[in-house]
Amino acid sequence: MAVVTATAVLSPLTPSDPNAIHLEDQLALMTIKHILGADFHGRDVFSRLVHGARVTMVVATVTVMVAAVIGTLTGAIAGYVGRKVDAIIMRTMDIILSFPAIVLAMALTAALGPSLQNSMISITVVTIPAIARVARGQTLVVKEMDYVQAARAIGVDDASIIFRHIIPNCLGPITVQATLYMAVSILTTASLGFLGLGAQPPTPEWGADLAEGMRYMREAPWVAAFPGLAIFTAALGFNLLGDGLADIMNPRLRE
Amino acid sequence: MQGMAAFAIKRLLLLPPVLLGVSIISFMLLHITPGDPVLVMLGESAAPGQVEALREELGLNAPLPVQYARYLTRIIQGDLGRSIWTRSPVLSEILLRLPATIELTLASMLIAIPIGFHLGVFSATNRNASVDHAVRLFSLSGVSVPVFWSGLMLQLVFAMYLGWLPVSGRVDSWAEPSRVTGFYILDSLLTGNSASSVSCIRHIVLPAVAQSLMTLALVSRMTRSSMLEVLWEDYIRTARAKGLSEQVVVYKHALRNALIPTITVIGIHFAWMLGGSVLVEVVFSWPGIGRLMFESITKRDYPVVQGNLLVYAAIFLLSSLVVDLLYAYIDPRIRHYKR
Repeated sequence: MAVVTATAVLSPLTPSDPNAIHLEDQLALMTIKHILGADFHGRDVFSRLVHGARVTMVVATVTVMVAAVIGTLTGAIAGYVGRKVDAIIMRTMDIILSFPAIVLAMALTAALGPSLQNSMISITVVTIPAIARVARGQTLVVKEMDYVQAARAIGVDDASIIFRHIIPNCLGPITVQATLYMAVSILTTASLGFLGLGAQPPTPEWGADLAEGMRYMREAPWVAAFPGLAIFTAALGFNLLGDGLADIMNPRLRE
Repeated sequence: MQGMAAFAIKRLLLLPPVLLGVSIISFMLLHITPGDPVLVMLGESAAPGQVEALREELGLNAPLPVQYARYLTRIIQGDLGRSIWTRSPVLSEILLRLPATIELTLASMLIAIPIGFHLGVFSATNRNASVDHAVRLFSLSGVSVPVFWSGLMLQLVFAMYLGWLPVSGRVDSWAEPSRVTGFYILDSLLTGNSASSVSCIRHIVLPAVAQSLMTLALVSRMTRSSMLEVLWEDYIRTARAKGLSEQVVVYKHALRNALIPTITVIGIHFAWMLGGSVLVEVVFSWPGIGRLMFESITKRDYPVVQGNLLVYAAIFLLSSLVVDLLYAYIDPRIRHYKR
């Protein structure tokens, strides 16, 4: 169930139509000539959805990847070195986590100036603590394991230990978290876009398009409905994937 | 309860550095803006006199550490500055709208928790039946739905097409209750204004439902998995062997232990919802701190943004503390731990 649906949803990765987004300036909103209708500017909703998919996937992937790298490193270092370094790092994470994610992302993006790049930065910042926590947790467990103790006894330097032993062992749970956070990132990007803080027009972005469609809800609800459906499907796909991964990881760990 | 007190104190001690960090982030918000923040706030065409005046007022001419020191002293005293737009104190603007958000969050929790809970229990007790799968799919969907979309769809169907419920706002303008607590529903009940109560309740339904979805989904999932874990434990088998009815087994024994992680999740979600209300408030024009955040960001009213951020963090930290203490209270291991 999990994997099948996930792969079906991951197909938005293909930016098939290199369609011009600015189609003939026909007035708003029809249905059949444009498969999913057109928006107020006459742009084809379907093409915007597809191109928006590319934007969304890029944002989600980049933010989560960067957050994962930074988070894993920080968490592993915190867990391994312990004491003061650990305290400082985790307090910083706590500080970031004291704000509701969307609110902080909003504020950061607004301060830096609303744009796609800035929203990506904000989302990355907000995602780092969660991953760091997972990494740290795993590190604490792995740290005590025999082969790590052995390596230290032989005199292998700490950096090598972290990179060759600890981090590979963190990857499992982190992959699960990262996948789930892809879904979160998609939703947050869309939310920021919806609020006008993400991609700026005319860049197609699901959230921003939805906000625009909001104005014509009565006459043409499909302009808002479809981007939302897209967001939902993408997020659902990653959630399913993440769940599936989590299930796979568990029994294996118990072996 | 010695362990509990120690735990509480330890927990409280963690607060000051976090609060400090929070204040730093809030402070820095103004300063990470590329370009001149004052120009951003007033607009490019502002008169130089105005610009200078604002700069003086915000103390931006002093060196950074001095600015921060002043900032910190002010917020400790509760002075969050003045809104650039309305010139009224930020704190009062926030406090004016806070009850609206709390009311919305409470309503959402009221919907999410009982329904989510029963769905979870139902799902756990009928494991792998088609209903179980349905509930699980629903849960996953609930977590994946963008809140503003569900809000919009609800608006579309129930307000615009069916006309059963109002589209937006907190209350019809003619039905606004006299302000006693700021919680409209409570106020209208206290003053005996039934027309107002009805109006308020009608207005809160859609936004509360929209906001409850994610928590509902999560609660049902958590309940389901905790119950599943517990249902196969030894003491449950003992209870069954004793001949107790399935009903008793489930409700008396399994539930109590399954509750613990669920309660933590609920607590976290209350805090989270307070922040996540931004989107719902924007869609439904609900006059809470979420919408304030959005509006002040749009208007570049930095003092309000900063103050709002601080308040959010404060609320979040406070609720986390309460949740932790509650959790410690419920979990006997922490309670009876003695050094």
